[in-house]
Amino acid sequence: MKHISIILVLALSLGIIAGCSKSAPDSTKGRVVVSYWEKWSGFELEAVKNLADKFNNSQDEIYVDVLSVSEIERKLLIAIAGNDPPDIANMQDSGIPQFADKNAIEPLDDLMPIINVKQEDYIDIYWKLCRYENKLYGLPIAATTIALHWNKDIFKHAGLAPNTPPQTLEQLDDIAARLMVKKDNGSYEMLGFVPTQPGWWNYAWVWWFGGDWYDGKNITANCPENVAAFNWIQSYAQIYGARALQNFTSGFGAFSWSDDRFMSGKLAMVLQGIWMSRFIEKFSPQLNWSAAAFPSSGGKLKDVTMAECNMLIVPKGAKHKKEAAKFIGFMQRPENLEYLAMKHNKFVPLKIADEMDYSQHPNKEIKLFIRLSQSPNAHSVPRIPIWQEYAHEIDNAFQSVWLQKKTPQQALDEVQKRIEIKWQEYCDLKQRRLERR
Amino acid sequence: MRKNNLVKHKSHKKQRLLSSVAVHTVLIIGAIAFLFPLVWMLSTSLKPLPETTKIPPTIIPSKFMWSNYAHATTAIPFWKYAKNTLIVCVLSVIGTLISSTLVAYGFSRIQWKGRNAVFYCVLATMMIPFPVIMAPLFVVFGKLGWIGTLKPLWIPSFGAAAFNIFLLRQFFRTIPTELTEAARIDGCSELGILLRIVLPLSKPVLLVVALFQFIASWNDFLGPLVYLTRENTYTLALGLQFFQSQHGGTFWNYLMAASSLIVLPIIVIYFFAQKAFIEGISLTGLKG
Amino acid sequence: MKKSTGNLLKGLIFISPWIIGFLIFQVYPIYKSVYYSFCEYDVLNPPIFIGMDNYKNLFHDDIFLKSIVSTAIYTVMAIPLSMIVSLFFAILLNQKIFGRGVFRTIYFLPSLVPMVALAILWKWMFNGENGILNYILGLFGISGPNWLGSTMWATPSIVLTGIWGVGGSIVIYLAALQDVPRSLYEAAEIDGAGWFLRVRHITIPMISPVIYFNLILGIIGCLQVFAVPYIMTAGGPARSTYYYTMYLFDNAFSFLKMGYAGAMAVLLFIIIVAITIITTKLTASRIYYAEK
Repeated sequence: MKHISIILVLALSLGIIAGCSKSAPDSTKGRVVVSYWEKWSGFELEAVKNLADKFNNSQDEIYVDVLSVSEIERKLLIAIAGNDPPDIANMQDSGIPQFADKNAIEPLDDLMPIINVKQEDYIDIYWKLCRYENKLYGLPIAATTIALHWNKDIFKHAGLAPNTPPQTLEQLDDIAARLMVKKDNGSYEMLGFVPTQPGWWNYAWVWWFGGDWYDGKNITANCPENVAAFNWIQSYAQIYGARALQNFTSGFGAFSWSDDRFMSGKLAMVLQGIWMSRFIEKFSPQLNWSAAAFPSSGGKLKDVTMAECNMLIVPKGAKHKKEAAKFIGFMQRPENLEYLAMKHNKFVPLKIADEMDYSQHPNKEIKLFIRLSQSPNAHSVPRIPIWQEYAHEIDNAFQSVWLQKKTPQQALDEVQKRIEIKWQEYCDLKQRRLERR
Repeated sequence: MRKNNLVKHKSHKKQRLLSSVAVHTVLIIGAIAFLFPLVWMLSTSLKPLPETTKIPPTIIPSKFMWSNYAHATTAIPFWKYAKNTLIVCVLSVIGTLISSTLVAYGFSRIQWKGRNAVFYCVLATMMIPFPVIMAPLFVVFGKLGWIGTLKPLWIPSFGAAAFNIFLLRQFFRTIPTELTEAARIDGCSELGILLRIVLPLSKPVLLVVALFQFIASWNDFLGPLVYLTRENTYTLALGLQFFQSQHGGTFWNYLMAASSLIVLPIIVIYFFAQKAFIEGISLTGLKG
Repeated sequence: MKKSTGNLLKGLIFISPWIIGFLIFQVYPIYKSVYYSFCEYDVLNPPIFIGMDNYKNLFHDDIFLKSIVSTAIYTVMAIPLSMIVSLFFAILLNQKIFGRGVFRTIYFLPSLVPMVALAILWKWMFNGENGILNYILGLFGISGPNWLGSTMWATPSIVLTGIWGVGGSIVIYLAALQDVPRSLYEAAEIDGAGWFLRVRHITIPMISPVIYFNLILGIIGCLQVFAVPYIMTAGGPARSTYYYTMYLFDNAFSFLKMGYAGAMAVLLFIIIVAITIITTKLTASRIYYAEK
């Protein structure tokens, strides 16, 4: 007993001492400290930290403090609601409509003189992603697109021309069927293609069929093109028998490169993003791969892709908006955007991306991804504030269809019905808010 | 007569031996099932990353990568989070001990009108689901300016949780009234009685309460998830999230190494406090 | 007279920490939750009163209804199983057996592990393709299902993960068991009662108050299950593990519909109170309080 009380007292004192000590770094003396929440970690975070250091060393009024935050959207909302937001944060474009609609982020229009950039310099789609309802809410620091990645060795091995990717979705299905190798115990030694990988964009497949989720006015969840896309998804489940595949990468800690089939040479073709080259370099450098535009149904639509970007935003209630704007301006300088792009295997969201020298760029297919970003068939996530709920519904529909619990028509009708209700609720609410003013 | 007894005795012994073997077998199987995940966690923490998902799986790592532990503690600000977690735990335990003993004393050693009715109210609060208070509590903390600090995680423990009040009250009731009456007659104040008579007798139970609270705070996930916004206030439970990145996937070996490190202090504390802990639990006399 | 008012004052002073905590951290938030449940509130902007709309929408919301069903299924699976397992092992561990202390520690250890690590670990062990569980089953010639990817097996998987943490209950039952007088067992043995009969007629009635206590706490806990499924399945697949509190949490913190979440919370409270009362009434006759 005596010993335990001593231990407790020691622990207590430790706790109090630790709790009382302030930990402000000396380099911030006299400077305005701008807190920056960064969603990236690992090497992507390193690149941002290096730029922040460069900024901090180049002047002595402002100190940017970079913090790595996971589940950043939720944390941001909580922090803003709790009156304790950071001054800048890195947010994915898909969250902008919701945040802007709720007045959770500050429009940057008034700060433009400090930031000092021009719309004309940016690739159209990315500028569009930064805006919502005629205001500018952020500026991009990383631009991405997605494409078909295929394993040339597997093609060669199966007697297919290794440098010729499928030009239509039907060709892709054909190749997938040919490359599939099933083991005795029912699991798969080799898969040609499976629409549940990587599992991050269950909503994206409809674009290759000419469908979409929102047409600017109405919810279009169950339009015929979407149903066609989900029929195609379900066809794979029927071929493979969903049981034999570890499916959905849902939840926390779900995705692991060490498990990834494409990386380990067990999946011939996959829809993946521009960052893929970096991870291949790191985890499977011997992989002989290439990339091309993911083919559409019947080959009718060319260069379909999804464009996403990460952007710097200023949360509502940020205490150092002007200083934040200065840093945003700094990050938007072409040389800094280029540095980040090189480190992340991405490209700059600027029109000059076309003319840049990519001989040193780590991603050998970089020109493809840039081309895709300027395609008329480059899509983004629907720009509506109820997108989070919509995405949940789509995931649910995708899973039901994959597990063959519902037909695509049924699943999408359900999504249509539910989201129409939520959309109506949202519109009513918006109306009420306007009337209040 | 004697012969009968001897026969009975022998078959009794045989029965006892059989039942003992049976019991041990079941317990061993159960123990393997209960221990296995921990063993697996430890095993994974020492493997190089590709081996973690290899089929067929290996229990003994091909290489003992002790460096995983070093990496786990540097990949995230492990010690900072550990410090935060420790602060929350220690302060919560202090808060719990102080408030629960005071309150339990009030419910057991002082006779006052309406005491039992209010106590049932206390018990009833155990029915309040956390989600009911989660969001408004968050707004309250926001207005108090506590969001962004560790305060939401430990200050409420100064308000005495129903479960602890219940445990301590049960125990306090078993202390003979003669002891306290004698002290009262001598002019001792209630607080004096609590400090000088009741508490010294209650050490095992207090240890139980402290231990339960420490473990609960150490392992708490939802609270930190909702109330901690600044990365430098994160606790270990939240810190585990950093072993995965946006497209980067999960590093199982580091994650398991970090998890093992997080579990370790608790196991050590429990190991040392075990005897007193079990003693304390049985003294609470959880009947009625 | 004077003494009793003096005592009343003393009593109240002693319990004042609880009273203050109760008012600030429980009464006030509950009141607010109820108020928000009648509003449209996203925390970032002032609440807008909308009357009963949230409640009306809830009853037409089939995600809400589905979450009630899945939570009920989870509870019905988890409660009997965890009670039987913890009681069974507590009884075994109460016997004088070799290595008792070691066994007790082993069974208690898992409940010390943080929820996050536990859920991640189990999620990984349940992996349909390269998880250790299916590998072991494979050694016995059984082809394990895709545990967390199957609507049929996802909830049982989560239940199983929960069972692993019964160490705390075992310890509590152990303490209660130690209070059962040996003499009762000895008398029964002399009368020729076997193990099962002894358990049924002596052990269980004698610790029935503790069983009741654990039952109520267990039900309340199951109705609020969150962390484990949040990490393991995020409610999938196809919302088969999307339990009540998860939908509540999403509404509050992902969709920013605090009012809607508030209505769900109020309903949950009512359900819990109702179930507690019903359970108490149903078991009242079976609980035996030993005379002190």
